[in-house]
Amino acid sequence: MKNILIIEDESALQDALKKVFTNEGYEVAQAFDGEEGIALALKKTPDLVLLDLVLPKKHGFEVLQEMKQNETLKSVPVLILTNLEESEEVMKAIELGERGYLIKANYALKEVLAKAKTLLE
Amino acid sequence: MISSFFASFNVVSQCRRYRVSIWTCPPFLFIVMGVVNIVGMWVTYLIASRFSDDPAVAIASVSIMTAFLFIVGHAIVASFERLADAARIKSEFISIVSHQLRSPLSAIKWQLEIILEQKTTISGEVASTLETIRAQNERMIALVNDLLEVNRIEDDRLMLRPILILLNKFIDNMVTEYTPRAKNSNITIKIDQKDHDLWVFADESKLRWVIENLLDNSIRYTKGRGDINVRVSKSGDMCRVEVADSGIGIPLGDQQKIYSQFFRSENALRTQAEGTGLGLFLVRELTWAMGGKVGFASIEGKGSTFWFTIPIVEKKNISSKEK
Repeated sequence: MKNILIIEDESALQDALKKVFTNEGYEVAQAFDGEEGIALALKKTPDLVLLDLVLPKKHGFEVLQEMKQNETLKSVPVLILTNLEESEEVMKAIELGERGYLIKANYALKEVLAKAKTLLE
Repeated sequence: MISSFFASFNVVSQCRRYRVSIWTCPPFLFIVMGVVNIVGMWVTYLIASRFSDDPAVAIASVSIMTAFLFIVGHAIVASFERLADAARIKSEFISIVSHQLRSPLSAIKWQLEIILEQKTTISGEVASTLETIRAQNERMIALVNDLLEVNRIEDDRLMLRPILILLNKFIDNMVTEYTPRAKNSNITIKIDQKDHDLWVFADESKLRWVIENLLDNSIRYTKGRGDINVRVSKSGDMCRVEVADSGIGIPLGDQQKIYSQFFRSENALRTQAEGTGLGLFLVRELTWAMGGKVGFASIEGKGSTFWFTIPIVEKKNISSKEK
């Protein structure tokens, strides 16, 4: 069974994501801030990380950077789910090696799931 | 033209528009500078002609006047800085508020999606209410997106992520998507692909946005008045997409203003109270950003034809993998 780590501080969004991915048969781990996120990633080595950017304790970019510097985590695909889309953010995410960048408000859960599946293949 | 020339001297109304006091208002300060300049020259002339045997006196008076001009000049620059600051704060404000709004909007969107998926457990009436909430939430999301996009255009921060797109297929899909909505308003959308195999290199979401807006406008302002014709053709080295409707049209007097932000023509307001007046502004700006042009022909009461162009990518430049 594939392991998914969701790093998102908004519990309403966490809930929705968890339901959808659990229904599809994925094992879901949840982190509500950046520090918890990186700790869980190190512990579980997920197959995919869904990452919010504006997070308490540690910004999503820092999480991404730390993952890229870690031998076991650097190959884990990261799908960024955020509501920020100013060019600086997108450019920085690309620089840090994201595999997908979706604006939460503009994508249905179904579409997030489809994108996640392509990254898991 | 003459009236606009005189209006440029109406400093008080200009300063009111900038929302700054008269002493920090650039148009007023420029006039002060002009007056100081003229007075300065005459004073220098008078002093110099009276004490013509001593050039130091003339130099001193010119220096004093120049110092005055420096002070006024400095005040002008400072006031421009204040205006620039105000514009920057406004743009940051829009950006922060919009992003903050997006969070709860996405939470509502996703939670509703989960509820609506469980169709078997909710009654028809509840489902239709939820569907209304979903549609309203989507409207709000679209509104926030429009505000953000306008803000980005004004700040020159528009970013495009172009990819190769087969325009014929793209338009076909979008027309199919819009067909049920048109049907609800008793409208049939016909599509006429004059030329095939038209590839473009464009930002998918922006291109989608442009077509969505044109289709959306046609449906909204045609209600019960006929059909919509979408034509896709090649025109030189550009692809041309036309959306023609037989709707309410645009009054001649309003035709020059329809690309202005927040502008909505009188008959549009009567037909559809809702609307921000940002749509066509964005259609034009986004098309320009993608290297194309926009235009329209319209007769009030008869209908409108909006078109846009976008550069073609020649077949020989597309690798076989992408085909």
